[in-house]
Amino acid sequence: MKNEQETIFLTALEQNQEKLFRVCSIYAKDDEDTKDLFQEVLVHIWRSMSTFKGNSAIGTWMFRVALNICLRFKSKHTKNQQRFIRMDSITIANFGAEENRTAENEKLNSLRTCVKKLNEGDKAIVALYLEGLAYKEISSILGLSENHIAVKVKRIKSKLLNCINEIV
Amino acid sequence: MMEDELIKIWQSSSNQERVKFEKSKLMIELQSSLGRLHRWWKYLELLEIISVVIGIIAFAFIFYWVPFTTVKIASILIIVLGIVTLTKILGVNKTKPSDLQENYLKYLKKIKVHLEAQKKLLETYFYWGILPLFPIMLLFLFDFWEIPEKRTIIVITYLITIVMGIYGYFLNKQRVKNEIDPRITKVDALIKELKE
Repeated sequence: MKNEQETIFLTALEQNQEKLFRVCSIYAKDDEDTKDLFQEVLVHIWRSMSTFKGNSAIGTWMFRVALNICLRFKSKHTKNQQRFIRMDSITIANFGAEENRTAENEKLNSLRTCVKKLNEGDKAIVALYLEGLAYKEISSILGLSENHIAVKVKRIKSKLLNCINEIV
Repeated sequence: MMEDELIKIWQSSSNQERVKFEKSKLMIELQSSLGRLHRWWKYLELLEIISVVIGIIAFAFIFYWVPFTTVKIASILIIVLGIVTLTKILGVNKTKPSDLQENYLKYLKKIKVHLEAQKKLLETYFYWGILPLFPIMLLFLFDFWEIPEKRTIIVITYLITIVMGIYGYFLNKQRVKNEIDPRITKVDALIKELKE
């Protein structure tokens, strides 16, 4: 049973690791913070694995857990918890490297800056939208109606485009 | 820039930043991190319970050992107060959301309920936890007043109780103001931002 869970977890992680990492990067204040948050998300996803019932795709379920952890991350309580999470098995290649700041990545860096400027509510929506999730999935993760999500996404996209145009 | 480009640009980050992990080592580390976290959570719970239990044992011993009736009555009242405090703390701990699979909005609402329960506990603690302690302490020290050489100690003990009570009151007020209220405001704002 445990081995089966481990296999499901690792397979799902391989498929979603970069997406989860990007979601963490929205909520973290710097590179180190992103790594810490990503590690914490993984620990809590693994901890909750036994309760995954398969009612939704495992990727959607992982996003749900990740967002809830991101929400808690800034509290004093979780800062204390972070001392108990130490993982050397995860490495982030090129993360925070200077070559990422070249001209061809200017758009990406601008987008990241603009996403970080959004309010917390919009960040949650855009984190899922930019990962290509369907409105139905976003609605089930956030607990809002699909119509509401569609309206919000339209507004957020316009905010992001304005912000990027100002930077570029 | 076209709107559809946003998703493409965002996802292009994986061309530069790759998350790599060693499967076998990751599972071992996850398990041990989880073990450490569980032990820490248990330690926090135990700390609250042990401090109250030590208090109960101490006053049970005083109840048995000291011959004065008022001291016995006061000891029982302090034990009852300790049990009430522990029950209330554990009650608030139960409101803490533990199910991470909830949707975001539900999770936020549960966090708000938990924070409000914490706030209520801290704000009302003075009335049910500290104020009753003052007459109970008077009762506790009452019979010792008959012993003249103990009078200075009695006055000092009572003054310390009052100072500690007032300090506890302001400490709780500060915690509500600096820790709980800002978090409630933030969660409220987030719920509003999502709904509007």
